[in-house]
Amino acid sequence: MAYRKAGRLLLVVLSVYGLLVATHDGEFWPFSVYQMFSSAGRPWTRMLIRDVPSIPPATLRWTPEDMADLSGRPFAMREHGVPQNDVAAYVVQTAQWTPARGEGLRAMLGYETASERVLAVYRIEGSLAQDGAVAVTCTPVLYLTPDTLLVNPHFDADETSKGE
Amino acid sequence: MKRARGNNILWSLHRHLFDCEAPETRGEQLFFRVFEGFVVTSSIALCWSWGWYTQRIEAVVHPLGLARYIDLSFLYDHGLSLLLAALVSVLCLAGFARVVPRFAYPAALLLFHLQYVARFSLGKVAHGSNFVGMSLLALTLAWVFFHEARLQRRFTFGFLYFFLGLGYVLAASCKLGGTGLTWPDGHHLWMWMMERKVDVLSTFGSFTPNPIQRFLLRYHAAATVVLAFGLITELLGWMMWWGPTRRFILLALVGLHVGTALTLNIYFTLYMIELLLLALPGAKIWDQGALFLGAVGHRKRVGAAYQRR
Repeated sequence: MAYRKAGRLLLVVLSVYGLLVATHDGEFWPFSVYQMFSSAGRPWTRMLIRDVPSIPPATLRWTPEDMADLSGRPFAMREHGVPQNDVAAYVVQTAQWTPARGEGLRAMLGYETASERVLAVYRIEGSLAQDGAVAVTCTPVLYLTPDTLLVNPHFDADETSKGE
Repeated sequence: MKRARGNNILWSLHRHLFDCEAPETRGEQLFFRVFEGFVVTSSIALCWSWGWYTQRIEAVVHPLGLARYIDLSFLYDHGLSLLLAALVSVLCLAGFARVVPRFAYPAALLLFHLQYVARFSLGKVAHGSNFVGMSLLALTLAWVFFHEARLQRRFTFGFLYFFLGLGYVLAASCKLGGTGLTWPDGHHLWMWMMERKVDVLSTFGSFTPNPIQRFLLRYHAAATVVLAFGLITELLGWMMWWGPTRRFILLALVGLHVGTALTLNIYFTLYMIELLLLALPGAKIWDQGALFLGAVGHRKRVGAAYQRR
């Protein structure tokens, strides 16, 4: 009797599990198909923030750089109590940097306008090169200053679809 | 004949998962409380951690779960996510203390779900809490549908063995479905390692590869072997449905997560603890220890009795 009940419960939960993940893109907590790492070898896009010296807008660089040559010093998210995954998703999925979007990023970073710091947000893209090595490019997407948001004029909104 | 064989396999599965007929030892009862305590503690800790962060979220970007049907934006204001965490805490502790557990655990699970979808509404889903959630679901179903304590405990573990094993098989299936048989190619691990390097740099401000990472980045064959081990281990997750192979596959999965931590700096700490709790013979160690101490105590009592004579 107990076995039958347990077996039926298992079957019911399994059915509900299947139905929920099938109709909710594979995720309905705590049910999941655990699709992380399922797409291997595809190009990825991540994000990095640097604390840079205040730079006059006319001299801002918007061209891709090597990771080793990035200016300023690292903005370590953990030190500022910021979950890195959320900020990365926010930056990568932003199609257009409006003032509202910029304020949202400021709020997530806990950026205090009184601090007078300038934060450079880089889009980091990785892909497999012909020789099998991993090629990484760092493109500045925007600069956050205390009172403004400077967006890369060459930023292509369509590129955001490549985000994870 | 085939139907009889099929029924035998199903019967065997039921017996190995739930083992309803076997008598229960004191060690098993105590070990269950330890496991339940872990699930309750983890649930409370996660809800508080998420509750604090939810206060910083201003708007839902990507609704998940029940948030697709209910507007949960009210949780982002006035400390309501913290109130939710407090409610989950009270309900989980009530369930653990056996104060109306048939109501406490289901209610805690529902609120736990709401806390999760409120927290992870910015586009990035995290899986570090899924096993804890499944464990709370197991406790919920055990207390709602079974009345005898022994069967509640047996069902909880059987449910978990089934769905944990299934989860790993699903993960492996997604990998094979998403990439194909070339998934274990070492170049893929290099790509993920570089991606994680950026994430670690972003999180901590610096990144120094450990010796294992340096070795894997140098030797493609080694990286391929590591991925192949991980994939095969996940594919064999169903082996925890049967008693004789359970401990082996549980420990192999612990090894998989240790490997993930060392190569990709991704820490599924709650998974590892739960897998270890299920893999290690805690109940047996307790029972054997009690037997030994009982035997020692018996010898001491007999010796003391002889001395008094």
